[in-house]
Formats: sequence, structure tokens, C-alpha cells
Amino acid sequence: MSEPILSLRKVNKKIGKNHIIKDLSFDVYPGEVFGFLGPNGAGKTTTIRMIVGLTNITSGEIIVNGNSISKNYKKAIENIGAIVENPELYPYLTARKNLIHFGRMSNNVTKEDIQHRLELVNLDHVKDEKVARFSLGMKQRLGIAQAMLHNPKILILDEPTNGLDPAGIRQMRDYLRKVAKEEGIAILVSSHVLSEMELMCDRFAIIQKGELVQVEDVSSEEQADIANRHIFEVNDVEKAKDILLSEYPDIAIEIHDNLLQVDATKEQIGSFITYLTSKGIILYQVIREKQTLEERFLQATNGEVS
Amino acid sequence: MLLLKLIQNEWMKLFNRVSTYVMLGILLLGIVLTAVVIFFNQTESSDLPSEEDWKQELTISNESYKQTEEEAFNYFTESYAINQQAINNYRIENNISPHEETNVWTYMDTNILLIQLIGVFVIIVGSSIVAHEFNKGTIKLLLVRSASRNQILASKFITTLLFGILLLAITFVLSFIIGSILFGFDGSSVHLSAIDGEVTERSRILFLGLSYLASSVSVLMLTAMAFMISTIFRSETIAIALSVMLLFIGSTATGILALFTDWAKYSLFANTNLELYFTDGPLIEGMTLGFSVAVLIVYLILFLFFSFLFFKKRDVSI
Ligand SMILES: Nc1ncnc2c1ncn2[C@@H]1O[C@H](COP(=O)(O)OP(=O)(O)O)[C@@H](O)[C@H]1O
Ligand SMILES: [Mg+2]
Repeated sequence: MSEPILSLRKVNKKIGKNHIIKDLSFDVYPGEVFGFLGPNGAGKTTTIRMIVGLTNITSGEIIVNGNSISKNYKKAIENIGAIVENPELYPYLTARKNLIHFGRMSNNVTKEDIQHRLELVNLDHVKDEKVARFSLGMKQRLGIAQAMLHNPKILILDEPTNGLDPAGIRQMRDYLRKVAKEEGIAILVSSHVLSEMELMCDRFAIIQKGELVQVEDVSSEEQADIANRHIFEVNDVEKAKDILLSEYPDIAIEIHDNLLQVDATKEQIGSFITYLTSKGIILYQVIREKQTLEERFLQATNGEVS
Repeated sequence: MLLLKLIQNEWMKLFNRVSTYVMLGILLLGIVLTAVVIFFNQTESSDLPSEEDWKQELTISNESYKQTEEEAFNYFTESYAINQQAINNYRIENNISPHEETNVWTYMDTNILLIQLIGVFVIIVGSSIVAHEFNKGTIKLLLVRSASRNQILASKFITTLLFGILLLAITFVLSFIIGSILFGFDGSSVHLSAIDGEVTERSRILFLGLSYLASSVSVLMLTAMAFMISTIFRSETIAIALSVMLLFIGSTATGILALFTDWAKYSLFANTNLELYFTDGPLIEGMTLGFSVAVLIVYLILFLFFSFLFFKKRDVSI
């Protein structure tokens, strides 16, 4: 992969005696949607606050496009577009005036850019209405428009799906995936609702109580070296089990509802199929059980959610 | 320049809020109200006392000032009595009556009262311009950009000052226009003041300009203080309550304090009334215009220093 656009290195945050973030490290790369997952109170918002410089880092380093956020704030922040927690815009200004306001804070944001961003997030028709009248979904979209105004290299969104209805979540997902792909920017989205993130993210990190539990690809179960559960439908389960165990004594194998459950890597499954067939077992089908992000999350956190 | 754009932003936000127009409305109402009241209580030339009468009146007044001068137990009361006698004598000698027909200057002089009102409004704006962003959470979007925290705070303070200047200019100019239409320039006389028994004549418009500016000094100082309080405590209410209270009772309280100790001269309000140096002389013996300006600058720097210090250092966790 290319150089990471955002890099956290052994980041710690202490507030008083509370050790809120512990040795957190991960990288986010251009063009990917990176899920930052964890139960409520895990420290997602605190981490994001440190990334955007709203709060100090106790120890460790955060690098944005090669610039340390604590040492070279101005250079680093120019690469970031962010919404921290709720999309709090000025309720007494219109959508357009909100964008004019934030546009003035960066160089080279033109009227056309503002119009373009309004169209992209589907708010063109209400651009001269006050934000006070907007629904949460509209505010969320306007928030994204303001975060994207200065063409950042990384977009950071803290729980952007909070309070959105399923259609809104879907719209947001499609938009973010499109933006990541077409503009090649990195997107970091935090969430405590894992089911919503599965279709949105390419990779994800899970944190719990301020500690990184794991970082992986959403599609990691397809990797050859990871053992996944497979279900075998055969003509004689007992016989098939004995045959497999006699040849491969170490594998995890069980019988369930007249089906054979085997935990093994892709490669191993291949040899099992050949071996069983050669011993006269008839195989009707082999299915790889798909584990949802939620299940993997529960596995990683030992079942503790919030 | 980024700072200019930030000021432009603050100005836009200020003038997209209903409260700003409510303040402007109340101020205009105030200007109209004083005009109406004065219009129906005008002193016509026929109401003016005869030369004999006002000279006698001044002589009597001088006797009482003489007494005050002799019995005075503090510096300011004594020097004030001396100066008033000097002015009265000057009037008698040069035939300048203390009474005049209502004219544009008397009306504008009354409207100096409105500066207290402007003070309240500017304090409200100064207190809310930072705290409001924290209350609404918009501070986060403001800070996560390449403008430094210093620039953002500076733009907010400058905008507050500009708002104050705007209100002051509106009051001064509108009072002048309304006053010249309704009351005209007839029967106006010079402005007299005395320091150390020495009488000075000044043109009315010049002196009014001076008075408006001098009255604004305490507004400026209290706005800076309100700005500091709201930045440190992030509470509009505390900042507004404390500053408005001081706006109304600050100078009285200092006046009382000055009766007992000369240390009062280092307090803020002993120095805000710069007009004294042009009219009646200093509040406490030995104070000079330069001294007061220096004290004011020190206070202003302290208020701003603490505002910037806290705004820069604080974690934003909302
Ligand atoms: N300003 C603060 N002072 C003390 N503790 C805090 C502060 N902000 C957050 N925390 C604590 O840090 C932890 C992480 O909070 P947060 O980052 O908001 O979690 P998340 O966004 O993942 O829900 C929580 O236990 C919270 O109580
Ligand atoms: Mg959070």
C-alpha cells in the first residue's frame, strides 16, 4: 500500500487519573474507508479530538500527511476535514451562508465550489433556508459539505450515522464510498453500531476501553491463512468425521443437525474435499459460514458491548 | 488576509442574529424617546432668567461652594468646589449665562446617557461572541481549521469593538441630525470647564465628541473584562451580570473608595472617567491623564492576556 495519510503512533491520553486512550496505533491510507469501531465510552471521540487538535496528546504522535499535529498543527490540519460528534452548524445562518463562513477560513474556496458541494450532498434546493429548520440527516450532509470544502486528504466523521434512518444511512454510505473512490481521499468513520459499518468500510479498527483490540480488513475472512467455519453436507456424517480425524487428528470438527462443522483455512478445506471424495464419501455441498462484523467484534471484545 | 476574513465572518454571524436587531431597535427607540421628552420640555428664550437673576443665582451658589471648599474632607470635593466657583465667576465677569435655550447640543449632551445602554449591548455581544460558539458546539468546526486560536479570538474581540463603535457612531450622528432638525443651533453657548481654578472655553461640538469618547472608555474596559470572563468561564450569564453591574455602580463604588484611600487611584474606575481631566480635574490629587491612560492600558492588557491564555490552552471537549 501507499504511504498512510493518517498515522497514530502509541497515542495516550490521560485526563486527571483517567487513562482514556492507551498506546493506540493505526494507519489510514488514501482511498479507503476506515471504520473506527468500539462501544460507547471506548474513546473514539477522544481519539478524534486528538487527531484534529481539539485536545492535547498526553504522549505518542499523530502524523497527518507527514506533519505532526502537535508540532506542525497548521500544516497538518489543512489536510483534514472533520465533524466531531454532532454536525453543529450555525442554526441562524442559511446552508449557503454556513458554507461561505467556513469557506472564508480556507484559501481558494470559490462560490462555484460552494455550489458544487451543495449539489453533491443534495442540499441545493434548500441552500437559502436556515439550518435551524434542517433535519438531522440534512445537517449531517451539510456537515460533510463543510468538511470537504477545502478538498482535504482525509475526512474524519464521528458517528455520522447516529440518528439517521436506514435510508439515510444507506445514502451516506453510498456517498462516502463514492467520495473515497472518486476523489481518492481517506475517510475515517467512527461508530458503535457495527452492522451499519460492514458495508461502508474497507478496513476497521476496534477499540475497547481505550485500547486497540484489532485492526483488519472487512474481507479478511477470505484470506487463506485464517481458519473459518465450514459446513459440509455429506451422505454419512459419522463416517466422514472418522475418515477426516484419522488423517488430520488436530482439526476441530463437530456434528450438528446432521451436518459436519469444520474450522479450517481455505487450503485445508481443499484437501479435505479431495480426501473425503477419494474415500467414497459423497459431498452435496460445502458452505463457508460468513461471520458478521458484529460477531467478530463480540469475539474480539469477549462479548462485552458498552 | 485571514484575520480580515474572520472578522467578516463574525460580522456576518452578528448581523444574522435577531438579538442584534433588537439591540439596534432599542437604541433607536432611546434616541427617539429622549428627543420626544426634550421636545415637550423645551426651554424657550422667554423662559430664560434675566441677567440679574442668574447672576444672583450664581453668587448664592458660590457661597455654598465656598462653604464646601472650607469643610471638604477630601481632595476631589475641595477642588470641585474651587473649580465651580471659578466657572461661576467667569460667567459673571464675561456675561455668559448658565441657562440656554434647548438646542442641538443640549440634546446631544442628554444622549450621552445612552452610552450606558450601548455599554450593556456591547457587553452582551462581547460575552456571547465566544461563549455562544461553545454552547452551540460550533467552536469545534471553527477550531479544526488552519486559523490559529489567537486569530479566532482576535477576530471576535475586534468585531465586538467594531460593533461598539458602530452603535456609538449611530448615536452621535443620529443625535446630531435629529437635534439640529428639532432644536436647531439657536441660543447655544460655549462650554466652560475649570481645572485648578483656571477656566477654559471650548467649542460645544468638540467637547461633545470628547465626552462621547471619554464615556466610551469604561464601556471598552468592561467589554474587555466581560470578554475575559466569558472566555475563561464559558458562561455568558456570569460575564454579563458582573460587567453590567460594574458598568452601573463601578464609578460610584470607586468614588466612595476614594474617600478613604489613595490606593483607589489604581482601581479601574478611578481611571475610566478621562473627561475629568478636561473638566473638573483629577479624582485624586496627583493623578494625571497620562497616569490614567497607563493604568487603563495595563488593565486592558491583563484582560486580553488572560482571555488569550485560556482560549489557547484549554482542551475543547464538548
Ligand atoms: N473531558 C473529559 N474528562 C474526563 N473523562 C472524559 C472526558 N471526555 C471523555 N472522558 C471519558 O473518556 C472515555 C471515552 O469517551 P469518548 O471518547 O467520548 O468515547 P466514545 O466516543 O467512544 O463513546 C469515557 O469513559 C469518558 O467518560
Ligand atoms: Mg463519541
